[in-house]
Amino acid sequence: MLEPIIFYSVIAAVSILAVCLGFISLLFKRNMDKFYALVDEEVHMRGIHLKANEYLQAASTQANQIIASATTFSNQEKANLQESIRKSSSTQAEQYASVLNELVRLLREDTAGQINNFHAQLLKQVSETENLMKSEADKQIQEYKKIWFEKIDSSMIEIVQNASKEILGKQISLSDHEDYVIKVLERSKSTHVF
Amino acid sequence: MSSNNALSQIKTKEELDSFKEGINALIAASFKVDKEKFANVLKQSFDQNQAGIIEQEIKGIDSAELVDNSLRELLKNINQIEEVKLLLAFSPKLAFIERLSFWFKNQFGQNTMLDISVDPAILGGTIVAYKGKYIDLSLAKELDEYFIKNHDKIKSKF
Repeated sequence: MLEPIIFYSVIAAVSILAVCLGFISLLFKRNMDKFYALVDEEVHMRGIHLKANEYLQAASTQANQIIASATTFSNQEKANLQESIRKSSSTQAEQYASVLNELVRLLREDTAGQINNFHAQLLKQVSETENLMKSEADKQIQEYKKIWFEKIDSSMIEIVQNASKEILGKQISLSDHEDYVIKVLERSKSTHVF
Repeated sequence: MSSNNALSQIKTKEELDSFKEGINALIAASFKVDKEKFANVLKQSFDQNQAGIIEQEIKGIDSAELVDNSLRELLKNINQIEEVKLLLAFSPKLAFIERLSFWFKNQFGQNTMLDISVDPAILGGTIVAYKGKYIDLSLAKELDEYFIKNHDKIKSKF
């Protein structure tokens, strides 16, 4: 009787564990997908940043060449224009880099948040599973103990009962036997069992 | 002496069977109209007490046919004796069988006899089967009931 209880308890515990592991795996996969998507996005943003820098640099060089080759501007005006273009390019590049850095920072924070969230959920699931299994195991142990205590109690009472019979059977004298038979017959008269 | 008095002398099944056998032998002998042979059968088939009862039963009857009728009447009455089955934990002595027989004849009438068997497993007391009723008055049953009733109390002592 006890073996099936253990068997079904193990089956139940393994089933619970399997469900929890399945859930954790799904959660992990979802978070890893997000993580890879964020990494891809960051790589893509960095590529755009590099390209933008290249374009700005190329535009600035091109503008400087145009200004240098122009004949309508005085040297001073050319110098001023070139300085303005350099400043403008530099400011644009800085602003762009700043925005890009902010984006990267947000992406990193988001990723870190996702990972922390996953970690917290994982810990919560593990803790819940542990508690559930512990509670189930405690319940099974209590049931197992109860059955065994009942068996032990019954066995002990049976032993005492058999011992009592054994002792009584040997201790009663013939005259006691005879008196007891008459006594129970007399007693039965009062209860009208016949 | 009436046949009822004769029947009241029968206490056990063994006595009843032996009594019936003796009467059947007498019935067979009564047809021979041989008083000596009849007396021999009577002596061989019954103990002194039972032989005395039969002699009283047929006293003064000269006709073999009337003796035969009287014995057949007695046999008919014997066959109507009710059996009380008793199970005891010990082999009873003759004095106790008589005590028991007296008790049951007082309770259920003279027309009863005991069929006693022994089983030490009942520990003491008796189990009675009478007219389809089964009454367990054994010590084993009383002990079992005690253990059932006091199960928790006994358990708490462990």
